[in-house]
Amino acid sequence: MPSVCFYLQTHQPFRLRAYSVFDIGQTHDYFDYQRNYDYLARIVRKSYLPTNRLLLNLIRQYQGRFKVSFGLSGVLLEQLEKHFPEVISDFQALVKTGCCEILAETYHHSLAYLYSSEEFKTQVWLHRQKIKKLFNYVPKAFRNTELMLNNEMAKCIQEMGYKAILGEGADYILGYRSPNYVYKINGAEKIKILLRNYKLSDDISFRFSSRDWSEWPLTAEKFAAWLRAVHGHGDVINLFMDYETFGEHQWEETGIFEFLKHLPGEILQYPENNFQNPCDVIKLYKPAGELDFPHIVTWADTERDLSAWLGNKMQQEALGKIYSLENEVKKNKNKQILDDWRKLQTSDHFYYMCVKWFSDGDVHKYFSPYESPYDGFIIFMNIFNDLKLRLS
Amino acid sequence: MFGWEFPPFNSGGLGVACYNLTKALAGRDVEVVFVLPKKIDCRVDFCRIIFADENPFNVEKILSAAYLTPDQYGKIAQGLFDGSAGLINEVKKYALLAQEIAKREKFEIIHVHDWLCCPAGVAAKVISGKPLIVHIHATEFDRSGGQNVNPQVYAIEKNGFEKADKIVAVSNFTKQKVIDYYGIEPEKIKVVHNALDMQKITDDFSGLLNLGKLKEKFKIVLFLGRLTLQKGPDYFLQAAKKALEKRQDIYFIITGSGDMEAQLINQAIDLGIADKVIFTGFLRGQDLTKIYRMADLYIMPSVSEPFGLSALEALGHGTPAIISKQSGVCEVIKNCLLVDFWDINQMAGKILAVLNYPILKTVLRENGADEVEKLTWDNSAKDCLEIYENILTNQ
Repeated sequence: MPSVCFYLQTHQPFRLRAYSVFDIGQTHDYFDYQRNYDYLARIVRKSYLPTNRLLLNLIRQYQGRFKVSFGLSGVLLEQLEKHFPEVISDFQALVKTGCCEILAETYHHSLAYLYSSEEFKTQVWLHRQKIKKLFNYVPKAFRNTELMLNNEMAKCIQEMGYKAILGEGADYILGYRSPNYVYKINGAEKIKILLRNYKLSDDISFRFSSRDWSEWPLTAEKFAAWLRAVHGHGDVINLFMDYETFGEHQWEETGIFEFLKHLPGEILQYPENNFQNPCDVIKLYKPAGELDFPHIVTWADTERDLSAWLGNKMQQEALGKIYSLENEVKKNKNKQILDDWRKLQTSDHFYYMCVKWFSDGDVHKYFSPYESPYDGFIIFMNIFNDLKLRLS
Repeated sequence: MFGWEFPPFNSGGLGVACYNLTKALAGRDVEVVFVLPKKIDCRVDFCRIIFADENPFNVEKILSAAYLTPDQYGKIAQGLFDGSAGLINEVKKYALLAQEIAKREKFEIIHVHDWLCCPAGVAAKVISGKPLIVHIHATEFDRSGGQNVNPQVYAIEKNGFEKADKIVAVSNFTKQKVIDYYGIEPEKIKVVHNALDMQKITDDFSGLLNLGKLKEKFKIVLFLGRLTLQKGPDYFLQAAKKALEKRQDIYFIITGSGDMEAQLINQAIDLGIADKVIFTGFLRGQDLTKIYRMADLYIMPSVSEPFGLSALEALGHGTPAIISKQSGVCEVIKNCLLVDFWDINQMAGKILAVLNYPILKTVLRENGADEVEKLTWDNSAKDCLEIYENILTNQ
């Protein structure tokens, strides 16, 4: 059996409050503290606390043979530090085991790469500082917001000194090739890419509790058998998913924790099997070939593109407007304005403005604070106008 | 099918819905005999129209007709003429005439619209034994805005709903009202949403209305509907006042007539915004097209709106809409802005958002037009046909 690379993405935004046009110039209070606290409290209770403790037990039980990687957005860490230090402390314990890798990303879980190279690099640096401070750890592998990736980005990340980058194993990029190998990317010689095996990842994150699914119920034994079937035609199976899969997207009642508890045992019962983190993977395996990512690929929806964030004119307008303030914000030297401006860049704000799923809006409605994507746009633009006023 | 009004002689959406539904049913090879209470000058080629007052028998004749047993006569005389007058009397008269028509005509199903036709439907069912469908476009709780519900109307509705074999509601919003206020079991009620007749959407600007100059310098926000408590025009004015505090280049147009007209004019004066509010009165045809097209934004602040056809008309004309959450139309239109009719600040905020952020207007109008195009009367007719077939096979 090939190696298993298990990566969990952890992020919660600072959601905006229902900021009205009549608030412009009156108050600069943009974030919905109560709602953000309530959401976070629920996720901490249902997902972060039980999952972290389970992961820690698994690492101890398998004496280092079970490994897991994390993406921890800066905006999430900031909220956890303030309200739930116990979760931070659990993550610290996990990192201390030496079996966990933390990946680099933008502090604000933003789309800055698309709009401003300077701001992008600053946010990656801010994230690095945060991870260093909290975990005394320096990430060596990179993952951009929503797993977005193209040739040019890989090159940029390589120049920033990272050894590996995560991406989506999209069919239209891979063609006949398998996601279960390490690859190089067109135009970037040194950096290696790890591609998400979306089928096996989604079997856990989306389909696990679906009774309409022919494979329901999914047991650890069955899943391990599927992984074993890759033997001989793959080096690494990349299981990338939202951390909230455990306990929040899939509730405890679905048996997701039991599944996770038994999975390492099922996989590790064969001595040749192992779990590896991204930096181990790129040391163990040579690239199987070079891939071409001419356009941005993400892990979202069936399109695997940016249309969930940039698909309509409202999203383009809102993103364009917020980045148009970059120079003024930076010249202004007001720390609070800078911080607000950055928190407004979090990709979730634009995601909430998406209207393409009025037919199948389930996933996107998740955690959206708004009744309608139009409300998301209006609130964002009202805040933008207030921010602009503060700069003048 | 028993109706009350028919275009061009309609005062609102009821006639429009009846006309389009009948036309679409005919398109699906359903033979509809449409009954109206009074002779009007309307001719259509897709169905036969009967005017009940043209019936060869008049009311007096019916009452003394030889085919009635003394018992039946007694029931009719007592139940129908109990001293009430006006509209309710008309409605009861209609029921008597309906009996005659039901005897004379051949049909399989009786389909009646709203309380006005409920007694007619019940009477036709008693005479013919054919199944009855009551199609609800509005309940007394909607029309009254929840205040001063007329007990006679309520009783007529309740009786009609109970006697019906099936009830068609124009929205889930209305279905819930029928369940909550009339105690009807949910299984008996089917929802058939209204639609938009895209042929009505034209570029005909030949109307007399001329606000062209206004349009050059000002934004136009439109209210269009009967000026009654149900439609919430008073909230529209309050929101207008609030929006004008932020932006003065807006005209607020009120199109429609109704018992609140004088009150609204006074309200505009009291709010100090009379110079920014235009009352056009009731508009038809090209003038209607023109006002929809000219508006930057349409608002339906209804207190209780079973469906809300005019919201579809606005979107069909490419005008974005702010729609009351207390409406049926928001079940089928997602590309609009929703408000609570009483939340003046929210309404004003959304008015300003559409006017201040042109992209929002563009996205709303483009997506709204796409969405509304998919709502066809043929779909509504298909749903009705399914209900007919179900009733007939289960008999």
